[in-house]
Amino acid sequence: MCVVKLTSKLPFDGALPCDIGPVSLVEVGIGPMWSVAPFAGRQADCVTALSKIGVIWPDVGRCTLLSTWFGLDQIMVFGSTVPDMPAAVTDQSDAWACIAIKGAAIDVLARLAPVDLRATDDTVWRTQVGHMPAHITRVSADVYEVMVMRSMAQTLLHDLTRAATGIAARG
Amino acid sequence: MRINCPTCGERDRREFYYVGDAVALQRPAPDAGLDAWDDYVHLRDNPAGQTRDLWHHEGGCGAWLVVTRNTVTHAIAKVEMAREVAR
Repeated sequence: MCVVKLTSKLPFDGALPCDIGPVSLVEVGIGPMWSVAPFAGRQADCVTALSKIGVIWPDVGRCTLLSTWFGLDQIMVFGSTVPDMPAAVTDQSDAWACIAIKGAAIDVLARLAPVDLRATDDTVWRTQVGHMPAHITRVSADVYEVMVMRSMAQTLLHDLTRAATGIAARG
Repeated sequence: MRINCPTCGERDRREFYYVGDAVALQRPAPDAGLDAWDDYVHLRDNPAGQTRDLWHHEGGCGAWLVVTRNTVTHAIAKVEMAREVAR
């Protein structure tokens, strides 16, 4: 019997990793991801429900190992399942594309994002990269992760490449 | 121009979308009468001075904000969450 084996394709398959000027761009496989937006006044119940599977509710502008702040009253949870809770929960796996910028990441993003990215590790921002809505995470001083909607993956790659090339040209 | 989002902190104007007069938070009752509805839908002041606008932080946390600003000096006096103002 013929069995068709489907293989998943990451947003930057074939395009990454690459080195451009002062940075390396590496694809981050996001894996299963859930948007959790608590119903009005029910956030405390969601915090409790998630804590039972070991997920810590992130503060505004922060991320944890298995979760990250994603906007007003909205977080993303990483993992194959989430518990029942009084929240709007949607599967966001495969809906976002993520690049880790390693090296002079802060210089590259300074050309694209209108925020001050100097902060402590595990700080996150909802902001724009170029004209795209984006989610930026400071992993460490020289590693930043940028997440955009998957439909904009090539635009993100283009913008990051152009910014990094510009910095490299200045020497 | 910078707007101090209560969630995200001070952010560049390009992250925000201007939505119009904050009068939208004072919707009249359905039976308030034609004059009240005409005023609500169509009639806007054009003040030289303090005005209250709705802004949406679309390139950020997604919050709706009420921004009190001065149209003469461009100074922003206050930024509030629309859901708290409307309460």
